[in-house]
Amino acid sequence: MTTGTSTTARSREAQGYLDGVAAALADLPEDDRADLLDELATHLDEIAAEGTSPLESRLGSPADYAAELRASAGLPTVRSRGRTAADVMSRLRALRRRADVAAVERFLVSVRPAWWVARAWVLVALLTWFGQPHWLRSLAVVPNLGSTGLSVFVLLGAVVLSVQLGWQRRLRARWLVAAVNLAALVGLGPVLLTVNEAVLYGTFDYYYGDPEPLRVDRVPREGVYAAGNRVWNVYAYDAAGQMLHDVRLYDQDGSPISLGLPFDPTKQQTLDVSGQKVDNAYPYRYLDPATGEVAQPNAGPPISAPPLLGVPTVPLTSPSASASPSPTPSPGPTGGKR
Amino acid sequence: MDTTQLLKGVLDVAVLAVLDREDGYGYDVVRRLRSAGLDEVGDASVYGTLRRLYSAGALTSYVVPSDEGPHRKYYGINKKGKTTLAESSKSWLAFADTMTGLLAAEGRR
Repeated sequence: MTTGTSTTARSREAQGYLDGVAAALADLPEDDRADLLDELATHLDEIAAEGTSPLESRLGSPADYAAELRASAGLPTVRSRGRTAADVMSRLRALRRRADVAAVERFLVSVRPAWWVARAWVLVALLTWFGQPHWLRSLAVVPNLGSTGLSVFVLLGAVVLSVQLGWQRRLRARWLVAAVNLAALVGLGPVLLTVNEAVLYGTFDYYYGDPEPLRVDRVPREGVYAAGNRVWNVYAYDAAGQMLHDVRLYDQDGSPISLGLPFDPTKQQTLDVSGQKVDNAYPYRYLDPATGEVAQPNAGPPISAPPLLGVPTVPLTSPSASASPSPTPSPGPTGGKR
Repeated sequence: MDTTQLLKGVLDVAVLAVLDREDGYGYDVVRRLRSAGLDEVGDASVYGTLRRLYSAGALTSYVVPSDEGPHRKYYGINKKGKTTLAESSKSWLAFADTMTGLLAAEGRR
């Protein structure tokens, strides 16, 4: 068998065509396939020797040739996936031979490190997102993992890992890289949108707004309070420091001031001349259940009120400038507004 | 009507008929089929058919070294192939007669 230069050149073309057919028959059992291709090689060489026009123009595409061969030789019918995959692969290979496609591919390869960084960021963001309780979910540019230090550390760590994974030429866990890339690719859009939203509107205010200020018209509390404590009795002292009895108190509107105490059967019930119950006469006094009389008519707080300075202890006919503006010489309540 | 569709059904008989006259290698069979008038016969179809007939035991095969190119794998018809050819020829001729009569009766001839 002589191998002239022309034969070698034709054989190379035949070899390329044969590779295409072989790829399309990749699903056949190996011995079947080897036998078939071995024979086909010599066959193709002959055809190539017959003319000068390219094999593809005479025989059709390798994929079509393989399909025809498969049908006429009664070979196991191809699983449609295998055929389609081989077809797609051969078309992709043809596409990659085009100059413009090759240029795009070179560009994509050159920006690959950027993708390694991006995918790390997207994955950390996704994990952060799903790690948060759903009502608190938000994403900052640096996914928040509790503290700023931890967040930056985890993000940088992920970037380093991802880039190392990217540089790894021979990889056993190719499916892992594929899964990572797929997840990052799918998550990229949503993560970008969410982060953008957070950057534009802030993380929480956007969702919840400012709380409405609480407005209370009236504190619905029973009773009278002084310094936060419930007032259970009121003792009045005159200017001389003497305790007064049965002093009736009114507010600025003339309403009787009652302490609003819970009912107590031992409390002395005071009536006015018309028989109306009076609840604003102080101090309240309490009865001795045994006798029905007031138990301690002079009881008072443990204080001694010193006499007031410059206030006559005896009512005068001429009004005093510093005393109460009211002409009535009622014993001045200390907190009186009028 | 598309001849390639018709060919599919009769390619086996055609290949057997060609080899019945003289042994041949793959591309030689293609050329002889084409020169006989089957212009649209596909290279891969003939090659596949040869392989199938060989696997079915209807053909013998042997390699002939060539001075100018690759070794050639020749196919020849055997006894089983001749039987198959005879049966197929008979049914093809009957079929062709029927079709001829049918088309003539329809006034298309």
